Amino acid sequence: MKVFVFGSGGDIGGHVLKQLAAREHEAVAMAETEIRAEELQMMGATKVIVATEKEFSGVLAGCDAVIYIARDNPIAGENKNMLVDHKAAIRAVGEAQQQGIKRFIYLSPVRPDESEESKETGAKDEPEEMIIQSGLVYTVIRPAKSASKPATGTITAGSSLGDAEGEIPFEDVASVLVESLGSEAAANRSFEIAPGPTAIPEALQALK
Amino acid sequence: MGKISKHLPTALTGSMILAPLAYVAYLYQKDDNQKQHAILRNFPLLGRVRYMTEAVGPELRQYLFSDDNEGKPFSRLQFEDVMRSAKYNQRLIGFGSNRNFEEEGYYIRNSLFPRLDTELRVDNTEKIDTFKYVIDKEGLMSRKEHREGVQIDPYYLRDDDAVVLGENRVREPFRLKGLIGQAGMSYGALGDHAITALSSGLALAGGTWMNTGEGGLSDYHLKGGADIMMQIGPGLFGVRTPDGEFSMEAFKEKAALGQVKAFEVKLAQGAKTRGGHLEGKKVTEEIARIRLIEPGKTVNSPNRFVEYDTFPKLFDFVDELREAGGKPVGIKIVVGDIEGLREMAQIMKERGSHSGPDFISIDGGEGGTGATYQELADSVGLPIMTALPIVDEVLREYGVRDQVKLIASGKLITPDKIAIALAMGADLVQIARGFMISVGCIMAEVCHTNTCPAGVATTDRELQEGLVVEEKLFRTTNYLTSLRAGLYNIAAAAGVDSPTKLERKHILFKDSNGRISPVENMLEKMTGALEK
Repeated sequence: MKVFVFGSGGDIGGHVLKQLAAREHEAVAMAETEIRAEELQMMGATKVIVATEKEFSGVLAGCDAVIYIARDNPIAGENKNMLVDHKAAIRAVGEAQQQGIKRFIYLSPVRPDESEESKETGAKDEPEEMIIQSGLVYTVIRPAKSASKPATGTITAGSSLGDAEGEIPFEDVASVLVESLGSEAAANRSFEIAPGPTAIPEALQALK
Repeated sequence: MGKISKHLPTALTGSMILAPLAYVAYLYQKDDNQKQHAILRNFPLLGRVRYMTEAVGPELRQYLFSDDNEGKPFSRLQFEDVMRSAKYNQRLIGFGSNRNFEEEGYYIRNSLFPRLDTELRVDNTEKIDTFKYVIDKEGLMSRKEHREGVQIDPYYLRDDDAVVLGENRVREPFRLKGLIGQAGMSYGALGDHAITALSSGLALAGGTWMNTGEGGLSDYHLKGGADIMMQIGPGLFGVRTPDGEFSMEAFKEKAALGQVKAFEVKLAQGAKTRGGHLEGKKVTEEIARIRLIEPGKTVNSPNRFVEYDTFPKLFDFVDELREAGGKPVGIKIVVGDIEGLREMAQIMKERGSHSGPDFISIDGGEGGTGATYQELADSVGLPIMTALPIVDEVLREYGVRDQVKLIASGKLITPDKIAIALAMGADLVQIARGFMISVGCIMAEVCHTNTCPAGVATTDRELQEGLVVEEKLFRTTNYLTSLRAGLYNIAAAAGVDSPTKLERKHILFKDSNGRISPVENMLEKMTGALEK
């Protein structure tokens, strides 16, 4: 499968690229500089588009799926400190519709344990609803607070987890995204993940 | 029965007072009558305070009286920097620097347009799973903290920037994706716990090497899986025949090990510009086996390779080792004799690019752990920040700089010091004491006595119980990766995309009057001064 990864420059994105490569998917990514592009290729991206502008029309041509990691603004520089670029996500959805993308995996910036007020801050919950309505085969994932920790390979998944304890490793979040690509159970579903005891494939399977 | 219970309390109270009094009286007369110590004869008992305070002085200074920038060989702040990065994987400080900016010293020239993170040639594609401590609550008398698993960036160099020892010269060149290694520390000088923790921690961090020190290649150096640079000193430990001659057979055996990546022929080290002395009682069966010497017998090693007293002879030996082992061979020197350096460079030039050392380790006069004599530690050999640019310039003068890599050492335990050495001409840097601190050294300065309280520089079983390999190894990993992260920080500030690109133009020397001068043409400046 040819997968376009938005947000590949972040902590989760790097793991996503490596895992896609390990499963022999083709990963396409965007980077701000040639130097970063080289590193993304080293991680396993087969193609990296160097873009300094926010414009990305046409980049999805020929791709089968999209993994969108919203917590990392894909083309945010160090000087762009908007929490989440929800407009970019909305544009990506439009682009995906145009290019006939078959699968759209969205990692939401909204956390399960956030207050309603916080969820709406900066309209960061807006893309979720739009993706669900888009007609794309979607998966929307809300992760618990995540951190740079060694992977466990296990999680808890459910439609509403509420106050989940602990931090979920970046690498495990990446595994959920990549696993969702080929998962029937995760298709057209919106769910939350947190640290837990269930192996990732089983946890997704149980969503059915 | 009645009598005993009646008088027992009185007897006990009496003896509690009388016994110490008797002891004091005994000490008093002993001090008064002994002939060894004048102070004690004149001031019996009272004079003993002197010994007590002398004994606890270093601790008192360390914990109570010393300013943060004081303390030797490393100031409290330097020590804390290492400890903090190793234990907490944290390098941030609050409220600015404590450096004394009035003093003379080297500074890094920051660019007005530093590099962004996305403009650095770093390789963080592989992550490292390690452990760090997190402070829960800081109290006056106690600190509540817990250890947790973390995934950290390794800060490797990109493949194109990797430093290669023996490139195009040996059958198996040694590629390094990091600029910092561990300088020579022998098994015997350090205990098996410390060596194993270091080896494991370095292996986990990757992109580095572990120098065995001249005491030979021990199982503990190999145990953790770190890439090994085996050191060969004048004692030829580990590569000798029973009667002390060099053994090519033993050398080939070591060179055949995949984990052994390079050899360093040690002519001298900072603290020890002398031969070694190994007390017979320290030569256990195990040490004897590793060093290829006889158990229980005192070994005095000469302060020079007896046979190799000229550069041609030395280079013949180096060439022979390279040919036989197929791995890079370097020499370790302490700089003092500039004419000698010129002679070496001249001979390197004459013999061409396929002869002589693949690398030269330059140890500053301030370098070196372990046991040595004060006169040699303090005043023999130039400090690294003087020695390094001189060697770099002499080699350039003779057009042989690209035949060798330069490895610098001598108290380079923080990223800024390392960056300055790299800018002065070092290709790589090696550290010994910084790594000792990472596995728990508290600078008690008793390395020569086998009584190290931290269980680092001792082979004593009980003291080593204090050093838990499984806990300390991660500190070594954290310390090394923090140093590498720091180097990228400095490179970014200096406006270059990799620490490999730091040059002389990126540093300045400021004297105590505030005047600055470039760190260039040091040789000229020095010869000028000598002629005056």
